[in-house]
Amino acid sequence: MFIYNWDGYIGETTQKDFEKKYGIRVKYDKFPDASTQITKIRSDGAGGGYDLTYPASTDIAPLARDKVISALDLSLIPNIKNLGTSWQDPAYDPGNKFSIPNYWWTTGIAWDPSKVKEDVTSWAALWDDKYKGKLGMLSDQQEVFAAGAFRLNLPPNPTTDADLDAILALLKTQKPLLRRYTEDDIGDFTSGQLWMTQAWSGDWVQMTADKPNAKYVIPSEGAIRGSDTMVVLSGAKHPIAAHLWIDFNLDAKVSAANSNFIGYMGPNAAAQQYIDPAILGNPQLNPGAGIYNSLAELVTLEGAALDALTKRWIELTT
Amino acid sequence: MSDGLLVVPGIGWLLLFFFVPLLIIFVVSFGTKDATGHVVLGNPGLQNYIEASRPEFLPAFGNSVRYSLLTTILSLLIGYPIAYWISRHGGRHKIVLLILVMLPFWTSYLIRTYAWMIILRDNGVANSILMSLGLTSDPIPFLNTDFSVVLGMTYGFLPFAILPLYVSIDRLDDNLVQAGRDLYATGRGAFLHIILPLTMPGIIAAAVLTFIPAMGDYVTPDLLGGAQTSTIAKVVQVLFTSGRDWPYGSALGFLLMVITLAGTLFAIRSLRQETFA
Repeated sequence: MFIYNWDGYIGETTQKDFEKKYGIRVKYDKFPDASTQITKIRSDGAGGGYDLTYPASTDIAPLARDKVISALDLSLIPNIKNLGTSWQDPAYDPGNKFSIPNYWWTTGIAWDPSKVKEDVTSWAALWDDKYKGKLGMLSDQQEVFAAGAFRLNLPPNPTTDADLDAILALLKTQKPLLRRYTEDDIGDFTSGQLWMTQAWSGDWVQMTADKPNAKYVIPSEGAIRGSDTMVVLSGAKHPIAAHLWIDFNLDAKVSAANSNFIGYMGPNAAAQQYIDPAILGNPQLNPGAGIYNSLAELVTLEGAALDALTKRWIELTT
Repeated sequence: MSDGLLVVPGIGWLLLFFFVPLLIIFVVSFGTKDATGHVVLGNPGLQNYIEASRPEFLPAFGNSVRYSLLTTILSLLIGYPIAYWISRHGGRHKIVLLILVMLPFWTSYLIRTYAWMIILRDNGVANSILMSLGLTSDPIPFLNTDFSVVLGMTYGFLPFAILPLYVSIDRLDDNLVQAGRDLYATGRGAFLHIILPLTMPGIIAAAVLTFIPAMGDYVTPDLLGGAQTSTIAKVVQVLFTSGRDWPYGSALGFLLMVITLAGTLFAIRSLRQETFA
């Protein structure tokens, strides 16, 4: 069976445990960023040769419309009962017709307190010229523009030219201070290239493996909350194996093992009892309902809206 | 007639794997895309080329040209002495030495670029050595700079330069140099007036084989570079992936190709004229 996923986004022994339990060999390919993933699975309109992949929740509607993913046979996924109630019928995919929720996260700031002496609470910290050459932002146009939007108190999914241009101007003042628009926030941070960077919450947990003092914060102006899913691709040659994989990962213990290793919180209510209390009890990783509901989600961009953003992203990064 | 048949496989390969993809890109570059990002060839036009000629791309294009020129010049400066030494002093070991030059290609280009990241980064090999020897107290930011990009590119393209240089130098008849020395030429004079002009075809071939791929290289500046080192090849990549605009990316890529070829042909012509003037 062929799986396409982010690097470092699964428990240490999950693949081996699955192979042992079902005797199905898994070929596990990785992609470095979301745009590589989407381009690949859309390349033949049916999944690019893969059986299962992990798209963001915002990708589900267009992928279903374009028939790149197929409807799930929920009778093959009995462990779906383990999902928390709010995840069993999400707004982006009513009835979990095409997808099963995987993990959710926030996008905030990770920093090294041994190098950055102040306490970081705001996006403005990434514009601090004291740390010129040691700052990083993610190589994701929507995430970067959202961060800029939060600083200017604009909607994090900007649509008007005026908003986009204002955010672009702000981001241009930041660019000379940046070392990189990084595709590998974990690697760049742990190798000391970046002292402070925009980062995904789960990546921060993995950073602490090499830099135990690393800190993470959901900035006060606001942050993006995202979630992703598991889907079966329409061209899958092994759809039943793909369903078994989804069911396997919904098992309470497997889900918790994944969470504990990659540092992301899952939607699996039954798994909570097995999750590392350091993750469960950390308000930055598992914020209370108050903060959770105030976070914003990214929308899928297409057509003219995508062009408007891409044009400014290219202008910013070149 | 049968001699002509011998080129058929070569021409066939070029046609199928070179011209046909090029033709596809060319056709796509005149198209547009619909709201979902699929290519639409219904109303062809030049709008993508007009978009691609905007002055906002000049900094990225400038970076591409700068890195490629530096890489080419450095590859020639480093490659020529190596090729010369192997040819003149390699003796029985010439083939082995050439294999050693090619050996890096047995490892993936991407892995070799990652190796440079490990060497050059702030807590990498280079900085660890410098700091443990007491020469520096803080790490020097080698990585994510123009320096690391040109270093990585030169390293990657050096074998492409050495081989054509070697072929041209090896063909040089040593008697010509001897004749020059007999006519009271100094070592320097013999090099400038005999060796260099006669190996110029090799130098031109090496320069072309380095410059043109370097203009299209987006991987090395992406991995070894930083926020300030974006190249035009990276712009094409962004358009094809997160931008999901294949017609625009195709037009920009085609424009880049035409400009690079035109510039290279012009440079070759001027070099040739200078040599035999």
